[in-house]
Amino acid sequence: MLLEQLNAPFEMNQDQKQQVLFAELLALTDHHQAHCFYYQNLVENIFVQKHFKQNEDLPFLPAQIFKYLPLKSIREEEVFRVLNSSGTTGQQPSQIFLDKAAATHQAKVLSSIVTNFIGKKRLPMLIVDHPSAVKSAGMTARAAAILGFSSFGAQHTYLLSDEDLSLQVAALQAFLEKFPQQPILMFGFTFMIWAYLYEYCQKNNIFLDLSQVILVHGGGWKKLANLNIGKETFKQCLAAQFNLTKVHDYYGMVEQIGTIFMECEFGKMHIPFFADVLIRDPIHFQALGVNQTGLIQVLSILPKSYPGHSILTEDLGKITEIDECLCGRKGKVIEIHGRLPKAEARGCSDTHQR
Amino acid sequence: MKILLGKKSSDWQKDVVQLRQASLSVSSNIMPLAIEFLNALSQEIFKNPEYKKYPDLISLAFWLRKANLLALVKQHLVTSAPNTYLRPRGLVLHFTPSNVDTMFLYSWAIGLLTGNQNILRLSNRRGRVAEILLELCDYLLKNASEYASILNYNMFVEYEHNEHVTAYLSQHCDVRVIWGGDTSVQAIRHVPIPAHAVEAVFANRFSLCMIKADALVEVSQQDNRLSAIIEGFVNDAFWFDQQGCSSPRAIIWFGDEATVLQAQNYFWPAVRQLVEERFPDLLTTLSYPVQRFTFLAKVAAENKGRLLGKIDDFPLRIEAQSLDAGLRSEHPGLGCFYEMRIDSLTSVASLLQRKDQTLTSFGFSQSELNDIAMQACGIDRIVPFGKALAFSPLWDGYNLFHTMSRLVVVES
Repeated sequence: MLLEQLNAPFEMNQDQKQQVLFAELLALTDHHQAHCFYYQNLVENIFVQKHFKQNEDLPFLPAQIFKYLPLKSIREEEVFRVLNSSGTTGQQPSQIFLDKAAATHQAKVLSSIVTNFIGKKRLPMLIVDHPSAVKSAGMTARAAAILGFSSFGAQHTYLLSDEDLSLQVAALQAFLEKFPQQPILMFGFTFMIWAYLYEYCQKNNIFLDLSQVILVHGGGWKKLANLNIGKETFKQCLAAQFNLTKVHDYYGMVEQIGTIFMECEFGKMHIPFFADVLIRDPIHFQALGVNQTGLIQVLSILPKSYPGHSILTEDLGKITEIDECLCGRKGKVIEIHGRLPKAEARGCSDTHQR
Repeated sequence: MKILLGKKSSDWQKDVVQLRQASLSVSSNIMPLAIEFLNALSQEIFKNPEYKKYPDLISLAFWLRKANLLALVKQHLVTSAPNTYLRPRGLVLHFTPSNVDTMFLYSWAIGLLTGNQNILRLSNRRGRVAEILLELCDYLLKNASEYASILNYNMFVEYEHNEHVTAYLSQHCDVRVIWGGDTSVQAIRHVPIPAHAVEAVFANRFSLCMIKADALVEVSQQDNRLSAIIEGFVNDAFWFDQQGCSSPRAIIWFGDEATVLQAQNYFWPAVRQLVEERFPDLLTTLSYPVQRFTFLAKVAAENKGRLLGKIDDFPLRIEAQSLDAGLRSEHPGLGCFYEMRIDSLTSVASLLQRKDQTLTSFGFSQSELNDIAMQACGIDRIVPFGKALAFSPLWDGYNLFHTMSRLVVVES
């Protein structure tokens, strides 16, 4: 089984990988058709052409479908954990069903990716969030991410207060003093890092040296994009304020358990061997080539307990290079451009002209 | 609370009470003045060449012409029973919709023509056409002294959803009209109105289209006739991104399999071509295809329909076996159609539900349509292609002239 090669998630070049993945993904397509009634209907009612020759021929589901229907390929009594996406307010969250095996795989896979970037040693860990973020009822995507990443650290310390999310400066300073001159892992959501760590320190003239910190952050750029803050600004500001330069953004979603695309030391996001990405034209859904922007389709051989092995997201992005990154990691490099702009449901006559 | 049009003092609650008082005093017949005013509004719209680019505004202007209003009044403000008369109910409170900009004016016009006082709540998400209408009304009422008295009896307001304001307005009305879908209707409905008051509500509706396949095949051989039919359908279906209640979302094909297939092959390419010309946004808006696909996936997963054609086709066509409540409520508009083939009038009638509003039809005789209407438990209008969105005072099963009037019996 492919998952046994987890210790080397970026060694396989794209050609090799594609062949290996295709066989697994095809098998998963059959598996889910046999075990998930909804998925079987979906494939039969939409993807009538049965001759799948390559990854791009395989059926794909719209990411939103997990909000509407409980898609699972396991029996009710096998459900071990249900993950919920945070979702936009007012919308129902996605529901992702895991059995025991899937939960174990998720942890292993995440570990194989993350340790490839930050090393195998468990580092003292700072979490830029408040302690009760992981204590809410049900498993939110945010809690799942914090808990998932927590397994790569030790001496976990939450940096924000439960009351008002203010930065616990004294606790942070004490932590830095306790672990001088050694790598420290810091984890948080991109927007939280910006608003509650960076801006807080900047406004209150708090100067900290975080050069020993390895920052892993994710959760998307939507809020920062609204403030007109891009990746480069974000990095520059952290470097200027904290001397914090080891920064790894990651892209992931609750529908793709365990599989995340993480940024290397050259600022490129890599896709591990057990996953792949296709870029599709937003209007006609045909697969696009390198450097063409379109909708991101994520493929992964992990989802066995639910039919999430091939999902068309509503995020835009492009593949910028294949097997070429200077860091030596093989496979595709992806650039994420954020959510597809949603058109307001219109009714105003001035939008249409005769 | 903001008064957009009408008399305003420092206290809007007093203004409402005053309007209410006006409705209680014995009033002279204001209908002739209303007709003059609405006709003047119509002329203002026609006068400005800028407005030609708003077809819905132009349709409204046609509707507001004196000749049309007189005809409507003549048709609807009389009763067939002897010694009965229609009189104003008093104060009509209108909650007008945000999605169709001209609707508030139709609702108001009928309130005026029936001789009532009116308070209209306008949506704060209203679009450009609603703004134009507001400006024109304001201009006419302030600059033409003959219409000024209308301001004594009418008020347009705007406020964020606020139950206290709604309750205050509601307790003073004699008729409450709620446009704007299930959520608004349910939200407003539990706010009480006076015991004697009546209410007309416009909930979410579903609309369909019915095509006799052999008739369509026949006209398809004649170029000009097909394009007129396609034109009607495209206008019916794609205005407001197919999100208007009256826009068809399901197509019933009437005929045998081979003829239906033939008719579809004439129909859809022609529709697509015209949409490309008239409503290009529907084809080019980046987020729409994935929204259509998500909708399709949901329907397919529940095995309620299957894709006809390809996932990137426009329109997106879904063959359905039946139309349950879920299919009716989940349809997102945006250029998606359920299609089904039926070959008996009885089957068409039994398909129609209470939620169904408009059935646009092509190729059927009046008596066939009558049969459907008489057998079905739902459907409020059956109209020819091109008429789906045309406003009529007969709407959702109401005659609005009657809803806003008291029927008075006088026997000596």
